Amino acid sequence: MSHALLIENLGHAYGDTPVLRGVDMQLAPGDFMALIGPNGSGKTTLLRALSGILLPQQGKILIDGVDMRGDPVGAKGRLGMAIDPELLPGALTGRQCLTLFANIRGLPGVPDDSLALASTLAFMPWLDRLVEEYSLGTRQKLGILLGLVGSPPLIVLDEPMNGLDPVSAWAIKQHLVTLTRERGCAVLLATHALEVAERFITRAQLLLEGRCARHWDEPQLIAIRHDPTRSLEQAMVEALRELAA
Amino acid sequence: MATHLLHPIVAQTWLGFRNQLRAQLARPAESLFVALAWAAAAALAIFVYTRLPGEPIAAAIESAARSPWTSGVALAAFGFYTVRTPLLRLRAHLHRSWWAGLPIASARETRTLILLGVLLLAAIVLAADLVLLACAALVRNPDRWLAAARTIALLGLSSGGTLGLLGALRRGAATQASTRRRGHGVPLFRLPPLEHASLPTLAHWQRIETLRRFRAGGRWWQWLLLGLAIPAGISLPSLAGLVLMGVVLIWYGLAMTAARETIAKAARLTAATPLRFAAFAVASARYPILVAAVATLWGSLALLLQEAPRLFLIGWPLLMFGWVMLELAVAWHVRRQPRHAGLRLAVDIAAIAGAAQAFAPLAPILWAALLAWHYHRARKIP
Repeated sequence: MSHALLIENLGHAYGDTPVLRGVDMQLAPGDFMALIGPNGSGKTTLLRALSGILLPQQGKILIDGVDMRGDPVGAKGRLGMAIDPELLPGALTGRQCLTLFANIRGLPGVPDDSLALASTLAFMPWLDRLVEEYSLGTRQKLGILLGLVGSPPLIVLDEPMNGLDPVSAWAIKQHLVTLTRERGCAVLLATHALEVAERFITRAQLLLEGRCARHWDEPQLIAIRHDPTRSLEQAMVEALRELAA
Repeated sequence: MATHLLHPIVAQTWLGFRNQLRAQLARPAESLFVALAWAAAAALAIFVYTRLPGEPIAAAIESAARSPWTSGVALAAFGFYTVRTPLLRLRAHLHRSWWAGLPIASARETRTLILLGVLLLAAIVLAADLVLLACAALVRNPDRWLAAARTIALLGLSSGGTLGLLGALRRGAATQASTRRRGHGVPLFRLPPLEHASLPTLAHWQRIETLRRFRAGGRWWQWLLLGLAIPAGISLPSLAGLVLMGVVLIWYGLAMTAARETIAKAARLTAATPLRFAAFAVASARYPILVAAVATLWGSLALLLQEAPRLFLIGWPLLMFGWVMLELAVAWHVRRQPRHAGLRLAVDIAAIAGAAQAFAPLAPILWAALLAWHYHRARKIP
């Protein structure tokens, strides 16, 4: 079976400062993984590398079996990454942005799924307005909608709940769960909001100083959820203390 | 003046500049390239300066100096906008960005605006004086116009700049914050050839960015130069040709800059998508090429109205085509790091101009080689 994401021995440094030191990671179809770690642990660099924005100095990244180095266009075709709100073009409307991404993915138009999610997120009144008129939350919604266009096998989101109202945040989480369970999409969610992720994820990976320092699988996460005295946040803090000792 | 009297953005800017300088010095190869590029640009400027036709320029300045009120008002308008526009932008930034939420006394903002305004005013007065002295150095007997021209420039720019400063201080933050209005970038008519592209949104985006800049006044100092370049007693067809050529050049320059910047923005936006470079290149080339074609047509008409020599009529389309292709190749090449795009383009143009001066047939060969190199490098970007 092909992995939705397979990372082997990934390494990268900025100048003399190593940021990723031999990261290995696997996501099967249907996995919903939280990537957690303190600031400066290498999460952003890892996401930039696996989305093809940054060419890592060492290691291999396969998206749905396609090598990011050998066939970046093919690999990116199997990847959906939520767009940073700051990168959204103020001069275009939300619909034009969605059309652009649908065109890039070879779709005839904005998929019904995207429009349905836009409706759930109360984004429809904004669809034909210029992005420069959007609030932070509305931009965040559009960034997520762009990443989900075409429901690719691997979806990557970096702190997607920032600026979202509770109703929209709930809708996004439900939509991601549906994508993983019913469509077999894998989701990689980089977040600090562990209490938000804990209820939905099936796996969690702690990144520390550029290495995968700890991993929690589904049974472990279920055990944490069922124990009222424990939480993933607490587990992560304990793991960090252990590793620091 | 102590920094605590000024807005903290001054200290922040200074720190940013210092850090950037340190980072630049830590990359000696890149710094050397940038230094060489600036040296090449300076050499080109000196080269162009030494070959400027001194007498016609002196005659134009003398003619302007004979109409002190007209020239003075034009220069006052120039000074007014040169000082007022950046101050309003800064004020809008301070009232909209994260600075707005900080407890900063409004007096510090006012003092900062005054300081910046005075510095800007001094800079334009000094620059104008240097330009006049440089023009005077080109001719044998500048005494008959130099003193009058310097006085008019000093008085015009100072009065306009001072009014601009006062205007910027008076205008409320709420009203000056935005120069963009709804519908500001809506095209007047559709362009079906653009819509048939594989990615029509890219061309549409470039077009909107161009329209916004043009309708916001564009590079208004170019309009002023155009106004000052109109000689007295010119025939009506020549006047029409001159104005048309000026408008075409301003619009073309704006469109090229907007297209280049949009390419960089679009590249960043779509960096993680399966967009093939070939498709991106085709889609992002359509609008600039259309602009070049339209500029060629209108520019040719302008040259005909001015009864320009045949050589100009042949050279104009070649210039437009060569420029747009080079502009696009550079934009694609540096799309992930567009900071030095303008400088790279200037260096390439300087190299081609230098080659043309040394041995004319070398220029198209160098142009084609640069084009191929930029395109090759652009394709390599993942």
